[in-house]
Amino acid sequence: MMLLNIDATLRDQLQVIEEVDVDTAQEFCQFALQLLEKGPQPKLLEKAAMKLNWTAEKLQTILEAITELARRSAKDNTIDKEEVSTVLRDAGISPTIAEVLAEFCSSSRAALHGYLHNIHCKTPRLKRLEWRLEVEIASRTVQNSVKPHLLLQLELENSQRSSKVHTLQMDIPTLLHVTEELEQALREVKSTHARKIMRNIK
Amino acid sequence: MAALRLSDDHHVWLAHLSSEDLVNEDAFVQFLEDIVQSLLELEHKIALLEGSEGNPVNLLLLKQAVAGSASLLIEAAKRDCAADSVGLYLQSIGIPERRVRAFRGVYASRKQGIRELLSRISINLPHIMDVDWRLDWAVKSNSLSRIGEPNYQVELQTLAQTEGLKSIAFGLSVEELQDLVWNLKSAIKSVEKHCQ
Repeated sequence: MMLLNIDATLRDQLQVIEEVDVDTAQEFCQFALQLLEKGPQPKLLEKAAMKLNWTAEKLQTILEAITELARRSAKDNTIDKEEVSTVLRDAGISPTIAEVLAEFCSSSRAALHGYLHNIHCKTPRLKRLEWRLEVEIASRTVQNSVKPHLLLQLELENSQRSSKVHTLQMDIPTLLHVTEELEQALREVKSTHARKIMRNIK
Repeated sequence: MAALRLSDDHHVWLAHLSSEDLVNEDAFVQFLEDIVQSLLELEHKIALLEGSEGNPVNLLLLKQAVAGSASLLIEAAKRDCAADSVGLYLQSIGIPERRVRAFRGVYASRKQGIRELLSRISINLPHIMDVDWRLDWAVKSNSLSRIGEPNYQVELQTLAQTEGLKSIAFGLSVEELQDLVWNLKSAIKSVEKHCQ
């Protein structure tokens, strides 16, 4: 059974690529990947469409179709280049264009995988951590004090790639406690229970 | 260290501590303890102020004595003064020896508590109070038919002066958590090195 499914809408959209030559089709693929990485770029899209004497909407639809094809093929690791090419030919795409698209799907797989990986988790990720050890020695309200603490700066990035910086401090007993807790968390991934789950639920 | 000094008003108010009519000898230590406690706990009531009925002049003088004593206790604790300097200061404004001794005693035993209170009134970044974590095994998602990767969720509980309790949650891979723990451990090492 073929794992890759191309429905009529996607087929019709992809067939429009037949209007251009192989080199342009390859450029479309690169452009699609670029849009995926950097987000929408209306000016660039407009310029490229003008060159082809197309409307921006038409080009946009094709680029989206290419992205959708790549996304579907990256969903499962067992879908290889050969399968993508076969399915496309079966859907009525010419062998040359099918080859270009299949090649693109296989070469962009790693990039797409990383991208798809991030989509599913809504919570922010820890992007950067900076710390500084400080000792408070005086303030307006207390003089002659010795109060060590750790200053932490966490940069968190959400799935829309916007990041937020949190500046926090923590006293030394809390630092010891937090470290101990997180070490316990790390040990847990090596526990028999965790290994059993990871081995059996795939 | 700069000499311990209060404003002239407080000076006058502190002098009321000499008066037997306002606070008698037996109640003096408890009176001072009550003042300290009212600094540490907002709800704490000073028994003498509560029980004082009738003479409004006395009540005013008592309130002034409380204000003067509280200022001296806070100022001395802020400067980390020894009990001796507080004693000398009280002697210089003519407080009787027995009461000076009582004041010194209360100050010496409660100084640390007052300093801790004062150190909390400062520019404080949100403090990390605790941490929660969870380990997930990501199996698959709508966009990936197979993920097969452990994933950590870490939530830091923070307390800020203005915003109160909050939490900051983020996700980490095993490697990222190892990196975070490594960073925290090297901070601990620096603390240990500097404490020696």
